[in-house]
Amino acid sequence: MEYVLQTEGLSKRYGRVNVVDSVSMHVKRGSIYGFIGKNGAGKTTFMRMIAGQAAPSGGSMRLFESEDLERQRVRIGTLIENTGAFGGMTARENLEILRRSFGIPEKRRVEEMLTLTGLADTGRKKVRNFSMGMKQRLGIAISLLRNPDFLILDEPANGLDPAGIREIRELLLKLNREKQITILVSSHILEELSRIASHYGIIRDGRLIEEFDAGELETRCRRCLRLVVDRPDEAAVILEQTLQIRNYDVPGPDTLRVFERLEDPSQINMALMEKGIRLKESYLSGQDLEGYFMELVGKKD
Amino acid sequence: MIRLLSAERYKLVRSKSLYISVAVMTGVVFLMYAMMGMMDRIRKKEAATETDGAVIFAWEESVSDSGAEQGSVSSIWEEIGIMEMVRQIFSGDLIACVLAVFVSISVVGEFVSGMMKNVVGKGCRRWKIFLARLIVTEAASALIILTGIASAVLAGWLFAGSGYLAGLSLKNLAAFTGLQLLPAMALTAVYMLAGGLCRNYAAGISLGIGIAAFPMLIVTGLDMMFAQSAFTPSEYWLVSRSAGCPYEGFTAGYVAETLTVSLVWFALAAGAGIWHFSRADIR
Repeated sequence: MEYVLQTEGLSKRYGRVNVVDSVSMHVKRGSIYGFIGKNGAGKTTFMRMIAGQAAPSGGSMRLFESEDLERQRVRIGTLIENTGAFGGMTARENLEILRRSFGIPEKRRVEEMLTLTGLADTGRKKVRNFSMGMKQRLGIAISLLRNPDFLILDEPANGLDPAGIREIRELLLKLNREKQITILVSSHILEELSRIASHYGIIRDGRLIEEFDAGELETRCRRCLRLVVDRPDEAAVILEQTLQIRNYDVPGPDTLRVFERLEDPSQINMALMEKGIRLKESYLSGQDLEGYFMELVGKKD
Repeated sequence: MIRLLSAERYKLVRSKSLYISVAVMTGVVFLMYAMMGMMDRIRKKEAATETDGAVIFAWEESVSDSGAEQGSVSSIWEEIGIMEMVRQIFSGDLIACVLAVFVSISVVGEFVSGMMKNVVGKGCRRWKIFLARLIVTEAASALIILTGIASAVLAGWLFAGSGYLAGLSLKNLAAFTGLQLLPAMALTAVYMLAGGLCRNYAAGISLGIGIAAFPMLIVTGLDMMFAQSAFTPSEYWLVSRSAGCPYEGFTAGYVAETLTVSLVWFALAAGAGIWHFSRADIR
């Protein structure tokens, strides 16, 4: 089984507004899929459809390569929007309610989850008195209660302090590596996301505009000299023959990216100009995920 | 289904709303008895020094008007028997309001806390989730009603003495309780539907209390409109049926009619509730 989640043209419409518009997403087994988008882009609605909390208006989806969604959703753990726990009860009581609802016979499962998420010593403290970080950890405990194969986490680091963010990151990496749990995670902290994600999807105005893996992101965000010229074919020949540069690519019709000899870009610029190439732009670039995301979304705006 | 019922029962036992509703029910019953006791003392002039003179004057005047001799006023407990008291407690929309608040808090709380989305889509069919909730909420509503009736008997004994219970027919009390439970069960299903539609505490409780109070006024008005015909709309509304329930002389026809009205309302509300819950997006 290669894919845990495949959607084809999945859509959700509220009235006349397409909140999720024909999204075709592919989440590979064992991957950590970073789902990126601005507020209101449709991330949460998409996740809710996958989790069975909202009915799609169109399109189809497959979970674990099966169309029997009801049965396969048993294998999914979710933390979408909020913890989903009664504020007037303790963490243990909330987990006990869900243990009974899910028909998990082992009572110790509740204690295991509390220990795993560092909530074992919360005792009689009500959830309403929990800090944001504790609530998020309880949400993760709830999502893991059933030993899921696929985790859907919507902003799990929301409201956490740096130490809390690090804890969540390490927990997710541990779950992914040791238990082979596939994770679909959305976050606004893109730097943090880039530390764990192996695949990415970028959604804008309900549409999935890009889907790529970490390797591809590295290539796209690599430090390079970006050249915008009038005759890219001739410029490429000059790079190879005159400057002996092999490490470059042509990402656009008039754009070249040079990945070597970046210590002195003026040599490259001069060589091109001497051969009569009109150099419209020449600049060093190199981004992180956040920069790439902003460029991508900004470009569309 | 068994596991869902187990979870719902656990939730109910752990939640405060049931205990608060039971306490409110008991408190109101005792308060009504306390007020009757106070009236009794005023009537017997035992409370003259503690009470507003105008009230005493008004009472004396009304007693004089009715021709009763001052100083030989009978006890209010002799005039209003225990079953009449129980009926008085259930004749208003008090029970309906207590149930409205309890059911609304219980149903809306599931959505507001987000607990519902942790259960939905996790291998249980939605109608089963709704049904489990309905069964446990009905049981809790029944407990509130039974507490009200038990409190009425207990308070009667405490305020009026053991002699007051002499007129109590257990058979009639059991029949009355059953005839109160039937519409209350249907009303609970109506409140569950309302709570599921609102998913907001303020709206759910307001709508619930509205359902408890306003239709009763409407059907009373309709009764007047249809006064010339044999059709009495108030007999087909749960709250007015509950309020008009007799405490003795039950006929088979009345019991069957109450059963039918309650079942029809229950089926409509539960059916609509399941239909809505099966299709609704859970936030």
